[in-house]
Amino acid sequence: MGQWRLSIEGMSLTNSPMGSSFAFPGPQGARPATSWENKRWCQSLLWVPRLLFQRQCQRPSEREESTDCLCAAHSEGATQPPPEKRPMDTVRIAVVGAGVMGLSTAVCISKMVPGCSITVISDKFTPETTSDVAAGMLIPPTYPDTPIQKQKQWFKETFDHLFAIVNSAEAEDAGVILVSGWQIFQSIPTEEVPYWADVVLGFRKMTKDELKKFPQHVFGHAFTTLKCEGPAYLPWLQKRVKGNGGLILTRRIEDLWELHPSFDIVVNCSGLGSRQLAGDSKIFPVRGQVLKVQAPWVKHFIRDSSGLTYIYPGISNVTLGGTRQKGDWNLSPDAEISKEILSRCCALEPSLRGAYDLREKVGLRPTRPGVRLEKELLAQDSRRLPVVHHYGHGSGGIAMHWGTALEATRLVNECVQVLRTPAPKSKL
Amino acid sequence: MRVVVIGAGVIGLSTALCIHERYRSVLKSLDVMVYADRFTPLTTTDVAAGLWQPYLSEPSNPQEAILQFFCHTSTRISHRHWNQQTFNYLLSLIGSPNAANMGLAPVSGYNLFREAVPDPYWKDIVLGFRKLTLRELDMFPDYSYGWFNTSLILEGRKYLQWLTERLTERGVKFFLWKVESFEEVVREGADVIINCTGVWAGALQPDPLLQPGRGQIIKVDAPWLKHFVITHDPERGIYKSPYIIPGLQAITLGGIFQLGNWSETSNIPDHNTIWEGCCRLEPTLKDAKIIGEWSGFRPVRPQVRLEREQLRFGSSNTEALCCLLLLSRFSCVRLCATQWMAAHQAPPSLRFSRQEHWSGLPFSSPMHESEK
Repeated sequence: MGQWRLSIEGMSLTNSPMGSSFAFPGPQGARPATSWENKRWCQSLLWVPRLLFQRQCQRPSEREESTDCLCAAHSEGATQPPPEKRPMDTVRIAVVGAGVMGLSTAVCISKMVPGCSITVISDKFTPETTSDVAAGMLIPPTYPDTPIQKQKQWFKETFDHLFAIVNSAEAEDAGVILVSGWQIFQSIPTEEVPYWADVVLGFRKMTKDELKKFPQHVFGHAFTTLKCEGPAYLPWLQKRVKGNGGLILTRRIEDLWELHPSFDIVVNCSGLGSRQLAGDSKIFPVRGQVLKVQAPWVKHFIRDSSGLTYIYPGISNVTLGGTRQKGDWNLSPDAEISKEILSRCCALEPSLRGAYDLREKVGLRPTRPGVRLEKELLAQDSRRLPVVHHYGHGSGGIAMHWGTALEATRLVNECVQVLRTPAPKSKL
Repeated sequence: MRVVVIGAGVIGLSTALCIHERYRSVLKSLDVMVYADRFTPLTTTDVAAGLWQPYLSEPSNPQEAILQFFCHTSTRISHRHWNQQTFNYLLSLIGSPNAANMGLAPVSGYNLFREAVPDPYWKDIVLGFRKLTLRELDMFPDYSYGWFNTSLILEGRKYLQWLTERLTERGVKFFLWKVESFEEVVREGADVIINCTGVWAGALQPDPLLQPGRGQIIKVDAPWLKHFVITHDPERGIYKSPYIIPGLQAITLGGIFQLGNWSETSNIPDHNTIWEGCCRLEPTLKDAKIIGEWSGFRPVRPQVRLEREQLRFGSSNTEALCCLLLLSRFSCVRLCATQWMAAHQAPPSLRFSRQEHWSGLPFSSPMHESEK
């Protein structure tokens, strides 16, 4: 039987999908809800404002840590826990945002940070996140504010992680595929070999014969890389979050303080939402419109080096793009733009004139001069809330997600260590 | 001038189109007809995966080509030349909006070996040929060496449909007719016969060198696979090692080659061989939906038979052009149409002087004199 604790905290009321969306993993895997949980009065309690239902999922099996119980921090207002042992040293972590950053960070934390409970909280889930619109090609952008070595590390870690998936039987479930193709230039670039050339597979310059296919272009790269598709990858990550004992909660957070004191650490993966949630004026949308079409004969990607025109064949459709409209928040597709995208792509790949079942999609890339990957200790009166920010990947979300999630997890671990270190005044 | 093409597979239809395209404008009386007992989707071409990839080495001695007849033309035309011409022709069509309608698309992929092998003679014909890196080889634990290149898919069924449309537009007529002898075709008024009967050519004229190389394939729906993967096992022999070839919609799985086996029905042991071999190579295939299973006969011959023969029936003289594009033991020519060669052969029959039409090809033919 697992251990769990009920606490009543400050929260606004939302129609939250309690019973059915909770799994209750026990030591031997999922177990059905107990009669206690099913009782009506339990459910009616759930409608009381400022209620949070918590459960410890992971027991620190290897180490019995006898540090101060964290319930002392918020015993005020806590109700009677059920008649099991009091939880030990559980650090309650809230991950805000359920796009590729939120979910991958949740998975990393659940694997690498022992003794914590994870709840992913978001107003939007797949297939309605920005990550669902992204084509998911592993061709990284360059962040001006981040050292190249760091970007290369993030990209390599992401590539290696997805490469292991693509070589397994789970590749199709996880939405990860191998795809070869060309990046083409209308003029010879100053940097002929990009920093990520040895991360992708088989990177080389295009031959003259290959370039004949693109008469407007004079130079190109040929390589094999990965494509990771949100609509399959996000559910796959969600399964892993739940399988590791994490919870998923649909709720719109208007202020990070709503999570205090129910949670000990907040991981902010809210993308553009950080403008409000973190008061970050540096983040802005770069609107991208794409067409997802049927053209199954297209087996290669083609990308113009400007990044504005691309053809990315995926599992069940081909993504044609795109646009880069800074500061544009409009999520509705523009028919003129769609026509123009199709025309640019047909110029590179004439057979696309036969594409059918065209669907327009819009995503707002959460853009910043650099990814925000840092700790912040929020303070208000006597309240303290450690936050780890992990957002702002712009057009490189999928390409960098695992590397930055690993780094965010290291930061979370640092916060956990701080929380677990006994405060000096409690020692006599 | 009636030209009858016997056979409606890739060789028959592409030869018919080539002849019509080249000679219709100069020979107003040209009438091209196609006789066949099988049309798409029932031809051998329909079963082929459609990947352009010859076998690893050329026929050791092209001079061994059997040309016992009057014409000595094709002795110096090697398979390499035909392969290259075909590839270049198809590649030139890649930029056209109709490519996919023809069944044509570029495709890249892997050739895998258990030990190092010399580069194939076609390495400069395909695009971007290179050896595999160690990280790429990590994807295929049973293999330690390999190549990567970009080639072309020409899907048999789509291509035959496209050729049929083009021929129909040009007024070429098709006849469902099981031809029992050249004589009956001549009696119908044929002046030139192009024999593209493939593996069944022996029924029209005995050819002990011709045998069926039976293949069985499974077509699956696995749209996440974008590359071909062809494994090679020199001990087992050509095509007996698993291969995965994406088509325009479906993926072809194969790995069967049985010389002399005329069974056209698919069988379970071969299914299991293909399925196990391919799933080992690509574990995600376990999620693939099987669309269907087919068997076909690669028309195997030591050399392609491409030659002219003069037939005499009663008082009429008819040229028969044997245009059998065949898979030889030494060269794997999956879908390399020799329509160009057939058309080049045609001029003497159509009474044009060689000088006008051969343009540089090193032919010589005793027929030349008799044409005048």
